[in-house]
Amino acid sequence: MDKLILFLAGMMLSVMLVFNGALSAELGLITATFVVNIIGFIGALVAGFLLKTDFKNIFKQQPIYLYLGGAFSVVVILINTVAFTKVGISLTIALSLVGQLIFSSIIDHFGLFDSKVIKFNVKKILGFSFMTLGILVMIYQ
Amino acid sequence: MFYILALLSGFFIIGSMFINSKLSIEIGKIESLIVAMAVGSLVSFLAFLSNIYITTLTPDFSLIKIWMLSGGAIYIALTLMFNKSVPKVAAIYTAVIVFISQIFMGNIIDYIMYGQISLKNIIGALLIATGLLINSYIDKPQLNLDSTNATK
Repeated sequence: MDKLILFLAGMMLSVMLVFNGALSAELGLITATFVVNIIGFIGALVAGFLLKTDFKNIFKQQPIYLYLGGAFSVVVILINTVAFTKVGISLTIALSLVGQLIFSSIIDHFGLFDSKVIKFNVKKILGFSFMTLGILVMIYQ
Repeated sequence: MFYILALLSGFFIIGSMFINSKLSIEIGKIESLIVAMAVGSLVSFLAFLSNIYITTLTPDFSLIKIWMLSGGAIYIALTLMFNKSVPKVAAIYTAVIVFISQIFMGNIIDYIMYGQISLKNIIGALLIATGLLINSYIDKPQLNLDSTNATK
């Protein structure tokens, strides 16, 4: 059941790229990103009300860097929307995935963000080679 | 150029995931989502204002059709779905399932929009999924070791 939910969520991610791309075609990239965020913010508030969340926690003071997650998401929406319209949806998804894996490996290897150090296993170059080959097949068509 | 940009988006996705998950431990899952979206709205509003200031063009909001607004709402729905299901599915499968379903839907969308399915995209996606599985299995003994240590 949870695997099915993940599968559905992945499909919705692709659909979201298309909707955001369409919005960006009408309004321009930056205005579209702003609209997407406002709708997301309202959606999050509605979800909060429906799930009877205690809103007091929101105003708890946190270290500044913990607020950067939302700013990073803006950058992701900007990049994905522009990349989707230029290189197509499949390649945008694939490149973004490989970017995630490379950065995760860097975080693990150096123990960034206070995470546990997990040294890079050289054997994983095999998997990365397959992924690079996959990306190349998709780029050169 | 756009290839590198798309690759970079992966860096920011992981960065925001790490930060948001830390924030959610501090204040709760929905609460951290609300805070992240509020910050996102503020940052993109500033970008929006500077864009109007620089280009002196006011966007025509009447061009928006309701279905185009679904993107932000879908984002919230799928974040809630990830919150619920990611902890219950082995990490080894999570990335593979999400990637395959994204590419699966991506091809359907390409078919609807351009009337064709790219065989090379499918072959490329299968190669990437293979690489993903290989690396997940290489990571598996390490993850198992970690969980054994954690229970001691």
